[in-house]
Amino acid sequence: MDSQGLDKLRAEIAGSRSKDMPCITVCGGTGCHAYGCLKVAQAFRDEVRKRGLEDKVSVRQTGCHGFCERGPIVVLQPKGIFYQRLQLADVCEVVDKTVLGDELIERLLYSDEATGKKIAAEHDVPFYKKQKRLILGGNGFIDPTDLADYLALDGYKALQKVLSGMSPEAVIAEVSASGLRGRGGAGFPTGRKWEICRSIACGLKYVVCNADEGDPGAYMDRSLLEGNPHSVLEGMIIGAYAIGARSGFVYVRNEYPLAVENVTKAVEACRKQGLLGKGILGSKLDFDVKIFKGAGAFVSGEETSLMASIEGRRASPRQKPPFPAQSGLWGKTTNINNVETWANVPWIVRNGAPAYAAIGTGDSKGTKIFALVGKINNTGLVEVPMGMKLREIIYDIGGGLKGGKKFKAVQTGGPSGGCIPAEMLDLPIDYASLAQAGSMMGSGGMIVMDEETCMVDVAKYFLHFTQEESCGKCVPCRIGTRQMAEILTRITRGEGSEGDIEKLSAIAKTVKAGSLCGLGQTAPNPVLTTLRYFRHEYDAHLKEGRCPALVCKAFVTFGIDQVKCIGCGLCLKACPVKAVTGQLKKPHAIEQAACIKCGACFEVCPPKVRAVTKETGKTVPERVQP
Amino acid sequence: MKIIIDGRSFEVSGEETVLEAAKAHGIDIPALCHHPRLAPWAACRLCVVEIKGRNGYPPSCNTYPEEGMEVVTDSEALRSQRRRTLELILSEHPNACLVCTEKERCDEHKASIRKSAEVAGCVFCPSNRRCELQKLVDRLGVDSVPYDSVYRGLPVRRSDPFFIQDYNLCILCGRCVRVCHEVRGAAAISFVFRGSQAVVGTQFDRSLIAAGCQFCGACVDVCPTGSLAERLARHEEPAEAKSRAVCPYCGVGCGLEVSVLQGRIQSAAPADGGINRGQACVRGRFTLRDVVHSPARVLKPMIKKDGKLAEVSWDEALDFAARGLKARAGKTGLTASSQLFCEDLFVLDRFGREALGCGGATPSAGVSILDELSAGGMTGRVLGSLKSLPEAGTIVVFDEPVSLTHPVAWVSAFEAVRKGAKLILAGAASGPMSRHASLCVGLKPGGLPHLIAAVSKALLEKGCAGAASVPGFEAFKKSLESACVSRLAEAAGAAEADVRGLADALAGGGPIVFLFGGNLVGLPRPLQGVALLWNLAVQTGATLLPLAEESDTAGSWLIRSRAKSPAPSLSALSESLGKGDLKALYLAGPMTLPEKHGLEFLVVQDSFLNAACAWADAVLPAAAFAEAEGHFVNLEGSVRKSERAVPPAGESKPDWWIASELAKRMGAPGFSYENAGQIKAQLDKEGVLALPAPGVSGAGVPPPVGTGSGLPAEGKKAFVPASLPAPCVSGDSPEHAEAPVSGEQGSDHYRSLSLCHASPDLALLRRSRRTGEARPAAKTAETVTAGGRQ
Repeated sequence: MDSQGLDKLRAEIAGSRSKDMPCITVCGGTGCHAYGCLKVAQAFRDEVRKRGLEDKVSVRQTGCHGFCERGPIVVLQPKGIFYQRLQLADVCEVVDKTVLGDELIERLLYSDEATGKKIAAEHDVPFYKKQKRLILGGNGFIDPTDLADYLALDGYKALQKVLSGMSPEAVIAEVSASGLRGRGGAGFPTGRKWEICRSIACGLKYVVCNADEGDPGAYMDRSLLEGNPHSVLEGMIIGAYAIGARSGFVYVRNEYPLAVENVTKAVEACRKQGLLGKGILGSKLDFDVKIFKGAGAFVSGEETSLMASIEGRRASPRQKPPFPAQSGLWGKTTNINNVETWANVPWIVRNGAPAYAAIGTGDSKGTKIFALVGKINNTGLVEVPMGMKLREIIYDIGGGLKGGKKFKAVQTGGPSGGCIPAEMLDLPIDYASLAQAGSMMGSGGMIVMDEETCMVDVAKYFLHFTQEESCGKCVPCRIGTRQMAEILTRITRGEGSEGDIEKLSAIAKTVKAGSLCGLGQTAPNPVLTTLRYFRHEYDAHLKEGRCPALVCKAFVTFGIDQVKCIGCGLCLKACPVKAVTGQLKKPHAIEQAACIKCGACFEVCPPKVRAVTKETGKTVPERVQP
Repeated sequence: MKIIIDGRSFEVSGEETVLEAAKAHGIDIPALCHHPRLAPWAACRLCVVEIKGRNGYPPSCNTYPEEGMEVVTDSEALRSQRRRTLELILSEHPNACLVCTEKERCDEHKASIRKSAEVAGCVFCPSNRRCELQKLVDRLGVDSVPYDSVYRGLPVRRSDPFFIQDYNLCILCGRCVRVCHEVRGAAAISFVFRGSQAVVGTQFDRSLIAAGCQFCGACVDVCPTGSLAERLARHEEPAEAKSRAVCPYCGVGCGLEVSVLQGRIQSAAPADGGINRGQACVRGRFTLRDVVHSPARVLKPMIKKDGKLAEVSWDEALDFAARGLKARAGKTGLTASSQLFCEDLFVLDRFGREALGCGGATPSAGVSILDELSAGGMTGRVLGSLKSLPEAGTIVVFDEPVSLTHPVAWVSAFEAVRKGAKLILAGAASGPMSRHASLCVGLKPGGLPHLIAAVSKALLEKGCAGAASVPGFEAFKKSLESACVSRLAEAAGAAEADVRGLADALAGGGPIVFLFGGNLVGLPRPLQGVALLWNLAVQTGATLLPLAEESDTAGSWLIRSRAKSPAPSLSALSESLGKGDLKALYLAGPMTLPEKHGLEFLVVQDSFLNAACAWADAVLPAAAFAEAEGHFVNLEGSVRKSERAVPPAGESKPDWWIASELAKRMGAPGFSYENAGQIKAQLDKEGVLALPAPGVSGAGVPPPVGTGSGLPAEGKKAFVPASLPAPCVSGDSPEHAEAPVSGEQGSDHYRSLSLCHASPDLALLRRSRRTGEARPAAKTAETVTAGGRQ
């Protein structure tokens, strides 16, 4: 099909869809899947069919809406009525009242935490209000398995624009002017990368979409591939045209089955419509994409490792230079960009570089998707303009911390990133400020931690992760991460010794300076930033025998307040090791030597009583071995 | 280009890394994972340097010079980074001895504590004083390890032959894995698991033997630590002396560095540089000690007394043998092994002609490829060399499992494959070869001549007439006129598409090399097979590299071809046995004698007791190759000098000495040699081996082949007459008896000794390959063998 054919097809699609026709969109993201959205969507379809409304109401399973905390999410278009936590039992009522009638169902609406007001429209929900959803926005409207939905939202218009007379150099200039930087972590200017690839004379070039998202807590690439795969493919086709590649790969984790399925379907649909293959849209551009399923190692996301994996070798990074542009897949020039980066490209081409560059800060343009997780009220994917303050993301969009707890730190950039303390909540989020704070943009994970989080424990968690996920090739990363993880484990177990902190920072520096790839070079960041901002917590563990957050079991003691205890016996029943003793209606006590510090007594003690205490800093008697 | 290293300016080519460039100028940057033969790996992070304008510490082993680059290889920051990295390495390596303050004096006091089951420190380690890690610790001055030490507690793998794998000592430099993949093309080992669990291992944790390892020993040779230790030598002290011998088994003639301890061979490792460039095969690497010090060695001269062999003095034995032989002069046969030095063969050949009157020494291995080439008048082609093999664009292997029979030739071929050459196998294919081949043409037994003819015909049909001006082309074309590609392909047992694919490859791709060996010669109409192949080579412009089976096949041919009347062939000699014409036989090369051989007098001159000794009237003990010095001419025609490593076993004497003593006693003049050097001088004087100019001789430097070396390579190239092979009716054509089922490979013997007989480990390997049986997996074997083989 040529470009005019595509315009015609788009017009046909628009013609067949009335703007006022009610459409029930059910979020089909992985989070909502877990809540049972498939059944909800099917129930809507059945309900519509049962009532013979197929011509009047459409039901669509879309991509992820982002507000995963509140799934399953149903948005009723065209009014944009936002129903959250919708259960199967609600389906009938929704069709009756809201779709056919004009009545809102109060209990399904989002209620503002602060004011308690019910909010009907999706865009009025505070979670969405401050976001700028250039890239994620399409997810809520598109059935990812239906090319028509993407076309209806001006999909592939950017490609048409590029193929209707833009030279590859002009495309690169446009991307460069937009200021787009790689969204995978390192933030290399995308236009510059393309320019280098373009400038190298190589008969065969490849473009690769890196969808091996592996940071704990980050899932924006997954949502994009699952929810709007065509935007990624369109970006890749434009990129291929710009650098002169004829073949591309989407390297996607096999742990993302839905992403694999949807992107595979999208590629097939593109081939069918002449958007991939020989002579794309009647132009001279030949380009096709293969889906490559990753073998499940975190390090496969490192670009040289990813290429090794595609070539059929062990996913182990190699020293750069040569960079992939100089020697990539099978020694050929290769351009690797992250999913989100590719998805930005069509928007830039469609709306022009100035429009994109108008968003963001000096050196960080456009928007960035973050996976907001942890101890936060509104867990989900948020897309915000670069330069937004942490405080706005966490409090305005994220709705603050769960249970009104005190904010302690936010960990950005996954295991390679660092922990940013409360004092820096007004830090604007862009590449430079994050790096300055000792963290990094990474792929956009944002883990919020409250006062009940022990920072030494957090560092330990991330070091255990990197230690296991290191490929094992270079010495500093393989052994250094293990040594750091072991020292941290020792500290959290109360077995730390003097000099541990010095040892930690010495290894951290060695690993950072000496490692072969990005994984090792950034692996010490959680240690270095926690040492920088939370040194007092380390000291508390080492010198005072205390875990201020009451997390590390070695430093925690449970006790029963003899005055408060009413002798209800709940704790006695809950204790798995019979460490709680006492008679009914009389104050109980905990035998410290037998206690395994599971916290079951603490959990079950009635809130009104609160007799079980959890303390730190007390001398712990040796546990008696039976 | 110019680069500045540590303030000094150097001119460099830009092709070598900063590490290599610095080393070439005397600046030695510490490194562990770097190996000159392997691609940069950059894993040990010890070779880090500072480069002006670059962030951090780039590894010099993987950094290539750029114009004006300023490199600092030594600074306080670098020293501290290296020391810390080494400390990390040591935290996972038994380090008690490495950082021990008494380590200097320790050696004086220890006796044999190295015989411990698990290596807990250097004094227990087979690599003590040879270990690169140990040297580096001394050099960087690391005297403590501030981190918790970890002993990984991996089971020591003892179930495989030849060497023991203790990955508790491994520092994961990856050299073994890389040499196995990059140089040998075997890929038997790889990294398994990741992170701190990462270790070198095999697929599904099978034993090496089950994983298809050829036990070439390349991994053992590149290992910087004691992780891989040769089983036989692991409890021994480092060698007292080393000498350079040439491997006596196959025709490649690898240089070997023979380690000697207390007058015995301790082990042999491939010599750096030279023809084999640091590579060897299982035979040369691991069987030398077992062969030279085999219990089957003949230690004293013996003569038959009262129907039994009895040990006597040399004089008595020589007199007895001389008398017996002289009485039957003119009716005596002489065989010589082509694994003897040129010096020995020359004297034996002279002894045969001048004392025995038998027309020279008959090679005991039978007709060689060189005999066939010269007999067919095939001259004018320059024989290929191992050195030029890596530059080939297309390599066709004609029914020869090169990676088994000539593993080091395979290494050169594989180098070409890594550079992008096409590898095509016609017929036999062994493990690593078939994995890297772009085309495998199936063959049925005896089908090779048909295949060659089919390819020639297919090329003619394609109209590739590049050789039209070569003499004999018309006759060649005519001889194929009636041929039909599909019928020939069918007769060969090959698919017609494969034949045409092979023809297409030959019509295209770059310098073509044909590798072929004994399988082509051994065919029922031998000459025809070689002639057909010759014509195909002339037709395509290919170079021939015949894979001689024995170490001195070419030397033997050169020595025999200097005389006008040839010695009888082995088959002619066999036929004359029992007919009464042949009264006596002198075996300086193994020969199978029939029960009724009808010989009156039999002399066996060998290093080992063999079947023929049962009938022998005299047995004369010959020194083995490592016990004498001499020269071999290898398959590409280069003359390779082998040094003496150990004194001759018992009373054995060099072959040339025995033959000349006999000749003297039989009254032949001109046999008063005092040492091998005199014979070599005579060979040089007569130009028999056509040595290159003085100064370039010696192990490892091949002379310009075909420029007068006397190998069949002179004159103008021309097609030779060859008829179409008769149609091969079916696979079981009567002309082609089935090959004997034997695990042994072509050169699995030294003189009359079977290497499998000498080395139980080799026997185990060959048996497992023949039957496909594998030894039990390491885990179960571990318990069984814990007390046994250590």
